[in-house]
Amino acid sequence: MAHSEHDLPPDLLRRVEEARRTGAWTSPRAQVVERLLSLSGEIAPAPAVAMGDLSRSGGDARAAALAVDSPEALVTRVFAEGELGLSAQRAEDGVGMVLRGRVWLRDGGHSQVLLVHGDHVLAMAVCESGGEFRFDELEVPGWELEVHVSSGRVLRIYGF
Amino acid sequence: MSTNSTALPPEPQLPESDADILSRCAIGDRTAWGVLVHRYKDLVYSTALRTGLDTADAEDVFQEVFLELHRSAARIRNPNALPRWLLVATRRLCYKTAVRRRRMLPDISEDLVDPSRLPEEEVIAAQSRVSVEEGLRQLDARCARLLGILFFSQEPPSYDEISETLGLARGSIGPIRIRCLDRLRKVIGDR
Repeated sequence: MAHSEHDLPPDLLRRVEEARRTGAWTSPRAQVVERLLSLSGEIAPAPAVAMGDLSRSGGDARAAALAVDSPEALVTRVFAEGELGLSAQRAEDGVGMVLRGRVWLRDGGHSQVLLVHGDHVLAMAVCESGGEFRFDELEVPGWELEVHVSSGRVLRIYGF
Repeated sequence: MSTNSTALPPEPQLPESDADILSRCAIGDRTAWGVLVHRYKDLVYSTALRTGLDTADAEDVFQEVFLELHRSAARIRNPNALPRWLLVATRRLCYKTAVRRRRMLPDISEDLVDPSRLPEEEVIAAQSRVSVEEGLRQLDARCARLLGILFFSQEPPSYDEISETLGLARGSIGPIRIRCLDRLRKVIGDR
């Protein structure tokens, strides 16, 4: 006698049939999972952004990219707590981009710099005042750079 | 102390929702983070392998996807659509890996970077698979193994094969199966 599913409740049968479309699943090695759990325990999640946190002194890398005939967009911004210098450059492979910059804070300390696409935080760096950050990522249309300073304010740069 | 081997196992707990788990992850709850990783590890890793990456690269993508999830925990707009979020991240990071390795893989294309090109049927299948697997995890070990074999074996097994594999009397498989299905259905509910 073989297993038959004719008696499965319709809702469960539908779920099972949909689930089977994923094909065979493979589990990652236990050591890989353990390594991830250990690594992620050392990193804090990126801060959320409330609407009121957004600084009005944001910038736009798209405008900078249009201003000169160059694959590199340069953006500088002065804000209440400090200054930002950013270079956004399309990579030679045509699909990547390199973002490099520095954040100088008037009162010293550090800032968190986030590369964001929608609700994905693609990369994050903690920078001492004057220290450099660098992100090598795929170019995703609509990327944004957020600089979080200790006051809780956020400077946002809109990407190309 | 005696044990009663005929006693039914306790009623299974309803799995915690992704939204609740994510909100705990966002404030640094490592237990919640472990639950989330175990719930979705097979989806992410299997998706990476299916794009044509080798084991080492698929393991790197697996790690990168979950680190991205960890970073993004406080920002995910629709926590109940987490499988979609994970598929988007996995596809993008597979493409990034392939580009970096300068490999041309049959299933790797720039389409993977565009969330709007994620096939809806792939999302629905992933959501249902995770829902069924998570439901099975809430059952006792015997039910989980029996239903796992029945649902996800490459070839539908006979009751004789199930009897041999699980060490169950052939005549008991049918009634156990009915009880297990009833429990699974209660656990999965409307998830």
